[in-house]
Amino acid sequence: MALSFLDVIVIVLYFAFLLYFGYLTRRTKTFEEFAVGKHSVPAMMVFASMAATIIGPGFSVGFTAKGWATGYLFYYLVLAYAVQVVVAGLFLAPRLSRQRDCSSLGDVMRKKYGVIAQLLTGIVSVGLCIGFAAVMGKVGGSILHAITGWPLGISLVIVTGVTALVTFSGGVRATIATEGLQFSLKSIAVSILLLLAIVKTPDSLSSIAERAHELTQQGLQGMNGWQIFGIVLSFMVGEALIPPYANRALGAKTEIASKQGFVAAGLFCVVWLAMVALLGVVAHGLLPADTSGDDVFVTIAQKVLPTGLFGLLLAAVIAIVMASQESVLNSSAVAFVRDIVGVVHSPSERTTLLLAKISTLVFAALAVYAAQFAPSIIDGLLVLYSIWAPTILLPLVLGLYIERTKPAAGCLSILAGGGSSIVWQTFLHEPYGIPAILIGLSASAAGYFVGQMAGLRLAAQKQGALS
Amino acid sequence: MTLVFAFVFPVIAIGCGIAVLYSLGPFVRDIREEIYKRPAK
Repeated sequence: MALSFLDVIVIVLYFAFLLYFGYLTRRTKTFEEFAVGKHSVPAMMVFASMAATIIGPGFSVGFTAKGWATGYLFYYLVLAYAVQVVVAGLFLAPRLSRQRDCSSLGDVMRKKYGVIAQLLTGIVSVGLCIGFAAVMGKVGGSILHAITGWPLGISLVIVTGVTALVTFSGGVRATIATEGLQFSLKSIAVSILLLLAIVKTPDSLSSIAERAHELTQQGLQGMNGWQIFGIVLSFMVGEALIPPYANRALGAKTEIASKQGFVAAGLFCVVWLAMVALLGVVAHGLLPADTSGDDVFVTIAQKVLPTGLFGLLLAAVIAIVMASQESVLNSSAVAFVRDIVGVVHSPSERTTLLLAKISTLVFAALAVYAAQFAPSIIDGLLVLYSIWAPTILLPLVLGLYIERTKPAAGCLSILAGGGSSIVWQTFLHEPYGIPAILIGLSASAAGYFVGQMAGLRLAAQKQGALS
Repeated sequence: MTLVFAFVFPVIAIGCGIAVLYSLGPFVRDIREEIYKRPAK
């Protein structure tokens, strides 16, 4: 891809400013500050940070590709995701914010189900966050590689390395501050891109609407009921309260700030996804029909944006990747230190903080390595979704509502849900097309029920023996 | 619907971007003040 001198300058300035921004907010003194920012994040920044993390490469570059191929079909299906964020904001995030003595999801799980549940949550959280960071890193590296022509490996190291550098020393508030900046950049740049594309396309608005309808109908005909159900379910629960989102709820200043931030982020998804899907439809009037779906976003930007603004858009695309990566790297370090190391050993405050910073860098390096084996963005995300929801989501949600939880319920739910989902997906290859996430969630519910009943019976027997 | 997606949503998104930029200043200032805050005597 040929870049003008002005575009290169804009991209370099963006990276320099980002590093300066990371430098401004770099210092943290306690682990609590690193993990949940002293529970002091206002609603607007919870919103910006959540929205920036949600709008990763899948919900931007990937979603424009879907708009190009299937019109608004995926927009309608993925609205389930926006609903999930709003519902989490109304019913779950405020309850998480109430846990002022918790710095991680594992802490919340320990309060409800004991130390083994915390350890299991920590292991799943770290694995999942490294997986997310690898998938995001691969996309970011590929984009930088396409823009600059540098080797893919070096591009991957640059994107993930800069992300780790702006994240590792400042903790969650530095992450949220840079995400706020990245959110502003991408929401303004992509909106301008869409408006200019609509102005420059030879098609009228009514013919664009007609094309969107046709593409949506064609896309719908190519899918069966199980596929549609699987996608909706995956987006509905797959990413619900994953560690970065839960950490935003835990870090919020008040329960109201947490609720408002989550609900606003969910509503913003409705706006954002419509824009990037429409961009894919509008692109039909501007790009050759044989353009690859994944290239539509950047190619249309190159076609309609003036020099300099195109560089800004490319910076925004890299920001999209980095914002998601920052959150998951910070969360992986918090989960590792708090829920894995903290379970077996209680280091001093200073050592804990140092360990959190070092583990951010180590996990970034692991993500770079794992990125070489990561599948495509949507496939990678769907695999990760099918692990998270069946393991942690159900016991976490029930734990926030049920007072008398039993340790066996949490542990059995995690093991049964995670185990069955992995077996169904990896070894049985989803027989009859039934999605692994559905099997995993059912097993998780069954495990929870059995554990809770066994725990209650045991407690009753103990009480009987005492009396 | 396409009309809303094409013209109303971009305006909302730009508005959100500007609102966040506006809130970012005080947020970073608070972090900076805490970093360089002297311990009370």
